[in-house]
Amino acid sequence: MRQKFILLALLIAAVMFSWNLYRIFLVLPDDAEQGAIYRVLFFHVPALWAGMLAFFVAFVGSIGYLVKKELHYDYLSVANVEVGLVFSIIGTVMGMIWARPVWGIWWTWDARLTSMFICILLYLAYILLRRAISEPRQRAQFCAIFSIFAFVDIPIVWYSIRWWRTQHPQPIVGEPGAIDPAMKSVLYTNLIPMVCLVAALVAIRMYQEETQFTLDRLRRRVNAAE
Amino acid sequence: MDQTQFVFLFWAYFVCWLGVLLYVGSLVMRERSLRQQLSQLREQLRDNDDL
Repeated sequence: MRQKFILLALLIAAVMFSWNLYRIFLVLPDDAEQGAIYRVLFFHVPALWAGMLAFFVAFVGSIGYLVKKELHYDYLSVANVEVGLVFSIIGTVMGMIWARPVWGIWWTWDARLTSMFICILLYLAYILLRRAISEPRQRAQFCAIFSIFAFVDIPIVWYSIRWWRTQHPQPIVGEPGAIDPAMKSVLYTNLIPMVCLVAALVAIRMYQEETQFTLDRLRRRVNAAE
Repeated sequence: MDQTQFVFLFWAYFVCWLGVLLYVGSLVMRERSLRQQLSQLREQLRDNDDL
């Protein structure tokens, strides 16, 4: 069942990415102001949205663990945090590469970029915290609490460009006329394969957490027998 | 297409896929290590049961 889900998600991702890459490079024209470099947007934005979605699922999983005390919620949380972190870093680095020719700088400490930087540091701390605690239930409890705390930063990242005047471009979601309809269509449809890719990676990572748990249990049995 | 913009565009897409590939590579290595540890432990358990 899990394997079928992973294969299906990867297949959808491969087909849609191929179709979208064709549209991005061969159908859509250059942007009137930015030229060709605006094409970074089609992967930068979906990567960051998919990352934030993964952090949200991790947040829900953390609450689930604290309520039900079942380790499956912890596996869901850690898998989503790890994959979300990878996509957030990818999205941020892509944004930096876009910024160099457009702004003339790689990085600036404006509200959006700073809150995103803090977000990456928080979830890196989550990964480090997991490695510091060996007892599974204690680790799950501390990490669930930390994940809920870390998620507080996500709405700040999301709304930072609305709350403060930033160097980062203003929001394009739900803003009529902010982006050409053809470009908007590619941007939104690229979110689907990105989410499929995240879901497949999360499923693989969850399976590994379950295997690790089995491994630890077997190790305790071996130690007890010796 | 402007040459400089093309270079930056290339690196942006390269970073995107390189990041995904590196993470998938780390997952594959972790999977291999887990399987290896699991088979070793199962053998140990079997040996203990035989004794």
